[in-house]
Amino acid sequence: MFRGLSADFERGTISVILGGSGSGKSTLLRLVGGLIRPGAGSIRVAGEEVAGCSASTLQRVRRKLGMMFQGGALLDSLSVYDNLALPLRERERLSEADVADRVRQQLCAVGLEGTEKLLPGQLSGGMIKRAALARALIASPEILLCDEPFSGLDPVTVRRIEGLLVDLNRSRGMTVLVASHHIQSTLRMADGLLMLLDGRGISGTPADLLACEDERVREFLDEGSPPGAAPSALAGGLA
Amino acid sequence: MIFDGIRRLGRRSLVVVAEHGRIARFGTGLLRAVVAPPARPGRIVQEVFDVGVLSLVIVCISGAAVGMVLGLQGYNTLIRFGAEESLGAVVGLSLVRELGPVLTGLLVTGRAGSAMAAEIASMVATEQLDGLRMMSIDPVHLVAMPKAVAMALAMPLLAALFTVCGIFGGWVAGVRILGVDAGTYFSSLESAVDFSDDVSGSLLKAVIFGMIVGLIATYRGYTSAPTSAGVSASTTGTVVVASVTILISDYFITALWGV
Amino acid sequence: MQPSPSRDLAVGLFVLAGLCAVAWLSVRVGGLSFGDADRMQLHAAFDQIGALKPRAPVVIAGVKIGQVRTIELGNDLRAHVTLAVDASLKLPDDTTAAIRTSGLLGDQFIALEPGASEQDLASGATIAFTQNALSIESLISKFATNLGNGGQK
Repeated sequence: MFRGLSADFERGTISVILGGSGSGKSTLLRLVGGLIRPGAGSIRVAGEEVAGCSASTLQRVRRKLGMMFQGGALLDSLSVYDNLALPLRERERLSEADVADRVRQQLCAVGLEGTEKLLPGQLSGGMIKRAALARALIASPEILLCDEPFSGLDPVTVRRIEGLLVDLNRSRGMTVLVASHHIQSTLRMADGLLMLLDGRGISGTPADLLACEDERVREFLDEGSPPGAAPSALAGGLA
Repeated sequence: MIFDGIRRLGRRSLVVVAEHGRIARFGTGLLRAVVAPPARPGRIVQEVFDVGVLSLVIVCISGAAVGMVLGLQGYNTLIRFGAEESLGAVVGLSLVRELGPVLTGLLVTGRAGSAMAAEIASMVATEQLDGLRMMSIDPVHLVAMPKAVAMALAMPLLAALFTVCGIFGGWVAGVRILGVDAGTYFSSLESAVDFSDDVSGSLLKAVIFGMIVGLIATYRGYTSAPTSAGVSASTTGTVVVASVTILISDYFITALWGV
Repeated sequence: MQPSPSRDLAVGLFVLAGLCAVAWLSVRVGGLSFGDADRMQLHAAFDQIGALKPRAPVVIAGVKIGQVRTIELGNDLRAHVTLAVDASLKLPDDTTAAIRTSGLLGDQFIALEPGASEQDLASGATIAFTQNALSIESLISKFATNLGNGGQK
């Protein structure tokens, strides 16, 4: 799928992978998470090689990772509460009271109080995304991977999730890696960008890419933000 | 032309052999998950509910119907030789040795095995298993193991209930409708069926069939393609493969252990 | 996993029903026994047992009171049959054990015919008076020879 792709996502920043459908954004995130093994090449996460590593190394790396999937990937036989409690119960020796504390805290952070007893099937799309984000964060990862966190959401929810991601990055120094084709939010929050085109990548800061001469990059970015509006959106993101 | 055919045959054989290897590896993983803590009693109870309680009605009704047919057919054949007092033996032996475990296996495959495969396959399609992997939770241990264990536990119980309902059905057809003496029916049944020869073999078969269905259903679901076509393929695949495997292994169990 | 009492109850009832079915099949239908607390053993030797098999019923006056436990060939080249019968029965020690056939082609069983003695059989005792199985083939051949002889006379 990729040929000669090389990219760095810096610790403590928000990086966004841009690209059209089928350009390999999700694949790239799955490669980072070790869900897909690459045919060749090297992937280093938090200083450890994950391409062709052993199962135990992968386990160690994954403890530093939280992943928010496009469709939420919540277990649909469990309530929201149990979905969030699952990684704590499975991986950490915590008392039920501590688990309840952490879950309530995390649900508050994403604004989902009162949904504990509901099943994922009873939630709206936006609520599922927020619950998925809460689950990705519950074990306090160092690196957060988000696959299309904004797709299919209303502008208010987009703002809300975006605010959460920025806050996590600024206040906790969490490294955030987002795959998205949502241009406005990307330009507002991204520190670094990777644009996927035909298996190659063009990386740089949002300003670099906006100034890029490549016809296809321009076309892609213009679609989301008319040329006049782009600088102000950028300014808001960096403020 | 000939070489082409040989090449294709070779490739197909390799695919089949590799598939067996993958099932064996998955089965070992499943076994390891059974002994590895935690035991997950809560999830196993849930799965026993899905497999056992929800299959109970069709298993009992089918058992009674099969028993009634056996009673009717057996009576019509035996009466020609004036041996209708052996009706209990005919009904009991056929049910205990063959029909109980085999038909229960096929019914449960269709009722619960397919649902099991479909559930896991749709979890694959909606990235739920990948979600578990990212949280360092083994999906085989959390999702597949309780289902397979529940299948192996519920199958002998369901097969025994099927057999009891069948014996009762044979009693209805033979004794209540056709007028065979009730005492004769049961004494012929009791003297023909033996625990060590027949009943224990019946339970052994049911446990093995439960393991087969549990393994194939979870394997098919687990390895399905993450699409809706993958979900339906894993469901039909489970029913076809598990049913044929039950029938073939029934022959081998009968031939090897004489039950 | 949310605890659900009604689901647990349903699963419990299902398991209980299944175990009852297994137990019924094993003990009543399959004749599995755990020791013979209320059974006493009696021995009987026959010259010919025909098609008698272990677990064949033992009856008195047509009522089942026990079953055949083992059949062995003794040193005297006779068939030694062990019966397990209801221990509460008081059987006179001149009781006869006969091998009978139910119907013309039916299974064989042992019928006990109590005698008139004052003494009772104890557990482990041997029944002295036995009647062998009647073989239909020998009956028919006897009948045929008799017919033949009658025709000649």
